[in-house]
Amino acid sequence: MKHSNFLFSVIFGFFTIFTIFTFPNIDAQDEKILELEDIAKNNPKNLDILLKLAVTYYESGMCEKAISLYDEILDIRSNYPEVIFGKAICLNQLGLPEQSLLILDTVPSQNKNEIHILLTKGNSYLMLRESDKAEEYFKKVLEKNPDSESGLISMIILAKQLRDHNMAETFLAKLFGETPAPSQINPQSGVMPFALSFNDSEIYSASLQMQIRNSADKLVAIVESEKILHVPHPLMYEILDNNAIFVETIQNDAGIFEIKKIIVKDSEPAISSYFLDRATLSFDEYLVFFAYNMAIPIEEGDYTIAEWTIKKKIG
Amino acid sequence: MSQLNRTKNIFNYFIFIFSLFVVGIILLSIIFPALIISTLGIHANTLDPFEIGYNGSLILLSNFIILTLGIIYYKNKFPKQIQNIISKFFQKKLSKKFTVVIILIILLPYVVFTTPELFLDESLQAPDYGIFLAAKEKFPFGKTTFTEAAEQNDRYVRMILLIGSLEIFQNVKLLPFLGSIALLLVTYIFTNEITKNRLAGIISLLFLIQSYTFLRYDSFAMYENFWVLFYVLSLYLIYKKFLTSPISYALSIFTKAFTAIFLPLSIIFVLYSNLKTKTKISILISYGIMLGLVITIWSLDASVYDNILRIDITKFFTAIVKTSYQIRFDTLLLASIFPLVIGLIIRAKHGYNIAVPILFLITGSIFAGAVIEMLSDHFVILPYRFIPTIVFFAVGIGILFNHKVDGKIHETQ
Repeated sequence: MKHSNFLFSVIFGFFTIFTIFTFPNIDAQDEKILELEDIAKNNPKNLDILLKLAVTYYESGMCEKAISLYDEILDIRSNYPEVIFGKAICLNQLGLPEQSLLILDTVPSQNKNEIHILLTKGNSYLMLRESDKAEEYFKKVLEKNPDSESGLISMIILAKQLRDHNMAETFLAKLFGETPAPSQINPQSGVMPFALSFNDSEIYSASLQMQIRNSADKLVAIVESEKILHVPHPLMYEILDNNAIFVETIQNDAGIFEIKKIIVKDSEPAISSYFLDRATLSFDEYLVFFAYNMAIPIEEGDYTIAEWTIKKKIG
Repeated sequence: MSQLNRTKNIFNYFIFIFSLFVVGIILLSIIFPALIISTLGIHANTLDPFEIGYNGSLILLSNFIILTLGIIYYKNKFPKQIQNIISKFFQKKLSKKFTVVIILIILLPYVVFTTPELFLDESLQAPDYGIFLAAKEKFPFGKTTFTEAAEQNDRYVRMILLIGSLEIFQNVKLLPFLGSIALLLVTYIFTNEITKNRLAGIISLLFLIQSYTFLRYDSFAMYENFWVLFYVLSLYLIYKKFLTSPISYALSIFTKAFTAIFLPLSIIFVLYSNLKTKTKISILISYGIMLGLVITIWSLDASVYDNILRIDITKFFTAIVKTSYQIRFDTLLLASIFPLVIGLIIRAKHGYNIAVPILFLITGSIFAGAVIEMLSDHFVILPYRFIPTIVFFAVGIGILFNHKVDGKIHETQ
C-alpha cells in the first residue's frame, strides 16, 4: 500500500470510528438513578415514580432519557402540566427551543400563566433571539412576582443580548440591591452573564493600553484593547467616577467628555501561568472590567503597566 | 508561453514583496515593539516609539549573522573543506530504513517527555474548557444564547474528536496529543513529497519539534492541532489523491473555521504545483464545491459566524505586530525569518518553483490571522494560531536545505 493511501485510511478511519462511538455515548448512571429505574421497572404505570425518574435524569444532565420518559408519561396522561414543563425545559437544554414552544402550547389553559411556564417560554424565545416575545414573557413573570430572581436574571440576559446598558443596570440593581457583595458581580466568574461590552454604552467608552516588560524593565510588547467588559451596575459607575488619577475635559461634535487616565502597575500580571490575555482594574475588591483579545506568552519576572482611558459624556 | 511566464513572474514578485512586507513589520516590531501601535493605536500615550525591545538587538544580530553565513555559503566563499562538508551533508541520500530509525529517535523522547502532560487538569489549564463543556451539552445542533459555546459547536469535527477523546479514553487530551504527533509526521511526509528528499523532511520535523509554541500547545485539548493537521494533509493530498484534498480541507474548516481564510494559499499552492492543467482545474472546482457545502451547512445550522463579523482596518496592522509578541519564545524562527524569506526568494529565482507557494504559505498564514482580527473581535488570538506558520516555516527550512540534484522536479508545467 502506498504510504499516502495508508495515511489517508488511518486518519479517516479514526475519524469515522470516533464519530460512531461519540454520539451515542452516555455518562454512567449514579446510584439514585439505578434505584429509581429499578422501582420504575416494577411499577411501570406509576406516573409519580416515572416523573421522579425523569426529573432525576434531567438533573443528571441526561435530557434525552428524560424526554423519552416524559413522552411515555404523556402517552398515558396527555394533560400533565409538570411533565409538559419538564419536557420543555429539557428541549431548551438540548438547544431545541422551537420544539419546546410547541410542547408548551399544549399546557392546559389554567396552567398557562404559571411563572415557570412563562419563564420557559421566554427562555425559548431568548434562544431563538426573538427579543420582543422573550421580553413579553419575562415581564409577565415580573408582573406576577416583581422579586422573582429567575425573572430578573432573564431580563439581564435579555439586556445583554440587546446590548442595552440601561435595561441591564435597572435589573442588576433590582437583583443585587445598591451594595452587592464583590463576588456577586465579579465579571470574571462563570460565563459572565452580567457583563456587557463597555463601548456599547452611550455614556462611557474606554480603552486600555498595556506595556509588558521583563524583569530587566525592557519592553516586550505593547497591546491595546477596546473590547472591555463591565457589569452595568450603579456601583460600577460610582467606582469609575471616584477613581480618577488624571482628568481632562474635551468638547467635540458629539458633546462634552470627561477623560480619565488610570495607570496600574501589576507585579503579577498573569491570569493563567502561560498567557496574559486580560487585565483588571480593581477598586475595593470590585473588579470594574477587563479586556482581552491579546494573549501574549509570559515568563517569570514579566510585569505590566496598564493605562486605562475612560471617557464619560457629561454634556 | 511568454505571456504565461510574464503572468507567473508578476505573481512571483507580488508574493516576494508581500512576504517582505509581512516579515518587515514583524522584524520592525521586534526591534521597536511600541512603534506601530503607538502610531496607529487608539490610545493617546507618552510612549517612546523607538524604545528598543527586550530581544531586538539579539534577533537583529542573529538574522544578520545567519543571512551573512547563507550568502557566504551560496557564493562558495567558505574555505573549500567546510564548503565540501556542508554540501556533502545536505546531498546525503537517506535510506528508507535509516529515515524511519531517525524519526523514531526523534519522536520517542518527545512522546515520553510529553505524556505526563496528558494527566494535567485541562480545566485548570484552559479557561475555555468550561465553554467546551457547555457546548458539549448542546452538541451537535442544539441552540444556545451562549455565543462562545455556539461557536464551538459550529466546529463539528473538533467537537466529535474531543468528545470522543473524553468519552472513550476518559482523557480529553489524548486524541489532541495523537493529533500533534500526526502533525509532526505529516510535516515530514509533506516536505519529503515536495522536495523528494528525506533529509529535508527530517530537518522540517526537527524544526517543528523544537518550536516553543508547538511544544506549549501539543497536548492542550482546547487548543488542539487537528485543524493544522487536516490543512497540511489537504496540501499533501493535492499531490497524492487530489480529489480527497478538499475533504481534508473541509475537515480542517469544521475543526477551526479560521482555515477557511487559507483558501487563497491553497489555490496558489495548486497553481504552482507540477500537476497537469486539467488536474489543477479539477482541484480548484472541487475546492469551490467544498466551500459551497461548508457555507450551506453553516447556513442551515444558523451558524454564529455571520453575527460576529465587522471590519476594522487598524486592527489588521496591530495584529501583524502582535505576531512578534506572540511567538516571542520561538527564538529560532524569529532569528531566521528574514534569511529564510531571502533564501526562498533566491531559490524561486533559480527556478525552484515550489519555494514560491511555501513562502506564500508562511507569510500568508501570518497575514490570515491579521485578517481575522480585522473582521472580528470575537476571537482571542492565541499563539497557537501560528502553528501553521511554524509548520510551513519548517517546510521552508527543509526546502532551503534541499540540495537534491533533481530539485527542479516541481517546476510548473
